[in-house]
Amino acid sequence: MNMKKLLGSVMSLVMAAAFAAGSCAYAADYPVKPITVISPYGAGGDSDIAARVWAEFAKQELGQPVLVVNKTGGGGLTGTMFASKARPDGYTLFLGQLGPCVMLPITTKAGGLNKDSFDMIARFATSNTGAVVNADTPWKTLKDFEKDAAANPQKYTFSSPSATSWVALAFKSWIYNNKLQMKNVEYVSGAEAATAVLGKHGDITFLFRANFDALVKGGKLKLLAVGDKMEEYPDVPTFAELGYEGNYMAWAAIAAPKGVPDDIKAKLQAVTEKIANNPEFIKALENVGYTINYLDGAAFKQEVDKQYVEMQTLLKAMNLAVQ
Amino acid sequence: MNISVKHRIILEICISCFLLVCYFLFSVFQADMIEQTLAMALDQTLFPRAITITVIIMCFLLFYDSIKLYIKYKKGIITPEIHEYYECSEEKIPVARILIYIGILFVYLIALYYVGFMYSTPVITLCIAGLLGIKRIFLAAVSAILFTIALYYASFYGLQIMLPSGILFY
Amino acid sequence: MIENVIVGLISILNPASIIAIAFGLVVGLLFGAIPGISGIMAISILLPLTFYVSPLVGIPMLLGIYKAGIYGGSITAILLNTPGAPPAICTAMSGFPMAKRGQAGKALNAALVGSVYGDMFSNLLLILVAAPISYIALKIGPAEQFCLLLLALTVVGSISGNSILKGMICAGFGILLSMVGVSGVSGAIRFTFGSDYLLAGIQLIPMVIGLLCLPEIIHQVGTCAKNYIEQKIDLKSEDGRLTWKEFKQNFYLLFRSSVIGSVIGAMPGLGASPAAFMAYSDAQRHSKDQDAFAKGNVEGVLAPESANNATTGSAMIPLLTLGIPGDDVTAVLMGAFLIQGLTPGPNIFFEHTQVVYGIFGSLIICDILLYVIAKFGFRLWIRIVDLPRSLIFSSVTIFAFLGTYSINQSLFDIFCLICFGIMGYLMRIFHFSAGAMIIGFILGPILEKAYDQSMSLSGGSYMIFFESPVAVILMIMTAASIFSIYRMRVRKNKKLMEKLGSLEQ
Repeated sequence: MNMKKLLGSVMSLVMAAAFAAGSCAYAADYPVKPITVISPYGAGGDSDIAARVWAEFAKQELGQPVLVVNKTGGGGLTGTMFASKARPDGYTLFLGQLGPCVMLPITTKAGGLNKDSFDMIARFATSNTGAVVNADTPWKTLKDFEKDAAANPQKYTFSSPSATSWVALAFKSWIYNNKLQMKNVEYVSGAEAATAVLGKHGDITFLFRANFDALVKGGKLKLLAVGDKMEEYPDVPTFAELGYEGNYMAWAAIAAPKGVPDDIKAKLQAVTEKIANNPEFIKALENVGYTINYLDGAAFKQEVDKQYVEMQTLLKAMNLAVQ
Repeated sequence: MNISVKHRIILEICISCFLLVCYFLFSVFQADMIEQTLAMALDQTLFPRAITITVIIMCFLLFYDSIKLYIKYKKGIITPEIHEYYECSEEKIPVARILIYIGILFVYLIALYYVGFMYSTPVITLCIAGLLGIKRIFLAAVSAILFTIALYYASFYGLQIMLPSGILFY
Repeated sequence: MIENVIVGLISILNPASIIAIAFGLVVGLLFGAIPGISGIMAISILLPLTFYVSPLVGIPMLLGIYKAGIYGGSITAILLNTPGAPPAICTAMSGFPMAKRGQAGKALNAALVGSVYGDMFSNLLLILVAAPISYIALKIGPAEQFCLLLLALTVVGSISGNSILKGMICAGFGILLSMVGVSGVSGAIRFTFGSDYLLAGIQLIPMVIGLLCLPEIIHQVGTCAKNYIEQKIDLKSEDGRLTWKEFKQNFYLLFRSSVIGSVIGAMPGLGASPAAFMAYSDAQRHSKDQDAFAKGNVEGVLAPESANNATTGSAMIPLLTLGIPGDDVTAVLMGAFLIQGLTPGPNIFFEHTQVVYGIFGSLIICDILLYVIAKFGFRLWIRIVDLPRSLIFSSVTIFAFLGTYSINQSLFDIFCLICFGIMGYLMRIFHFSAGAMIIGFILGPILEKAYDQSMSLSGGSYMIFFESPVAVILMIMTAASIFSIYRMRVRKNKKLMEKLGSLEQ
């Protein structure tokens, strides 16, 4: 029985290799060979886990192996550039996120990236964020912190979770919008920034949920504001409730290099929609700190374009944008 | 090929000179090679410059040392370094074989790109084995092919990696 | 609470968990031993699988891979002089000369004993005093980290062979190479020469394999493998095992190295390689017989192996107590915890006492099984040496390519590998230290990061390095280390001169 299965998969692989030699992808029998998903960040991060969990479930739906490739380096730039230049045949997909798809085209000229480098297939999850401080500090809300920081320019330190990341830029824009003057120390990951605030080497940081959840629940950090209302923390206000403008929510989506045939996109979108309703998938990603939030490609593209324009205006004003 | 003690000392002088020139040029053009993308309070050129200057000083000291060594060698004084060079001078460097091996590596790289892992690996394995001397060529060929197939599927199912399939067949 | 602890510790003693651990250990050993393919790859591939099994089966399996993966690097380092992963670099420097002298069995045993000792030490630290250690680790700020890294950088002096100058030039070159590409800290683009490939920077694995493994293969191919290990390895003879006397003599060394490893491991962002380097340099400075150490002896294997394995247990301390992964492997492990619905952090000890203590129990079982499985594996490994030379070195070449390709699946990395190979061979002929270059490459970015962070915190004032007592102590230790390396050199030179003098007469 098992032997048969193995033989079958080997056979299909050989067939696939043979077919791939002559023909381009025909959408009708897509996929005929393994699909790779490029994740621009290192193995084990929350974005990598999102890609791997999606791949695990997509494999069952598509009937072909789905392999996750971590192309790391350059703050996500390498993988993003590679994926944007890949052959648009539906066999190379990209784990699209706010950072690589929206922020990189604004902040760097490298690799000829622009906001239309990728076709958005579907968003499957959003990731909540929060501004956190050490539990020993006197601030009760983000408003308290803002007042304090306004009264003491250059006294407090923002521990940035990585210069090129969306979270860091989002919070820097909050600082800019509220005309605060703060010191800024760059770390290379959310975990390191959280460590700095815990060890009081920094005063405030802005993180994804996975980075602060345990520490807030354990009483080591204090949550001042969140991007989106969370059931576990009913008392913590969102940025919008506090009257701050801007976008404080990140997302994870399946994207593909520009120019993938429409029917392949439709198939992938249908698969993603089906997966997003699978309770096991929902449980796995929610455990990692994501919220399952499906949105189809067309509607999502509009949202991304809106975010792009917003961020571009803001980063231009902050003198951080290059295009 | 052996390197005699005299040649080795001269080579040392040349290497330190070469490094000195390289690093000097590097330090001159360094500022142009650094592009600060985000507005940062900190100067991102400072650390590389500090390292380059340190290395330049080290290269200069190395140059000075090797000149001193040459003078000592001429005078017939044996220092620990010269003694070490005498020991090394007996070591033969098989230049031809090494160049062939490196050539094979480059051919393999190009072959991976054009014809892929499956077809190039058995040939390359046999080439390298041949360079080292094989006795039973048929057995070696069979095992090279089996080795390649095993690796291909092991890395596909075990590592989830698709080895290059070559653009000629794509 | 107490009964939960006991129930937890006992709960790991079920067949499923033990089989999972054994499976993880075997996978880790194989992955660790192959150059370029590391345990982390196996862990991330098996991560989705753990979703389907209970936490006490899935997580111990991943821990087994982690621990065996770090140990596994020493096998190929000793037998083939091809350290598969950066933490095994120092092991190769002492272990391979031993193997060539016919002491391969002794070196393998020493690596295993060192690894298991280091593992056990840091596991006990994790189980008994996790909370205070995590508190201390938090107090290490950027300034302290900078001083600690300076101390680590003095290792260059111990491993750069006869010329410290050359070692420093190599280390400097390594640091400069590490700056190529987009800086993860500041986003600055440096030294890419307009190439898109270089934007990603140079990868560590092609560099390690290129500078250390390829030159060895080139050397063996060049000489037809004539001076490869000659003797048959006999595991029963005096040279084939680590004697009780040697173990007793080096007990304090193992303890010191394990402490170094545990301290480095508990700090986020440093990892196993600096720990191995520091322990190696420390062992060299304390070694009674410098000549024997330079030629390779058990001390040089025991120290780095116990230190790099000691980081595995203590890296779990910030992970479990604070939910902060210190390096890439613990980041994947954190993913495994999260997928299971166990959120690492201050509360995990109260909310999931049984599971946590079950995992602690599994760490101990991991160690015991690692010893048994690896000991059993020796019989297999030593067969490598008996294979025809043509087979060994042709397949090692293929493995080097495969390992390099597996990191980013890019042929550019293989191009880098070949270039580093040529460079490494030239460096070997002219006595430039490849190890020093790799140390520079590994420590450079963290050093710069710590410097930048300290400067941002202090607003550009250097006083920050003198304000914290820990930083000052570390700086004094750095100075002491430089002085002791200098004194060692002077003594060695004097001895050599005397020897030469007596030869001339």
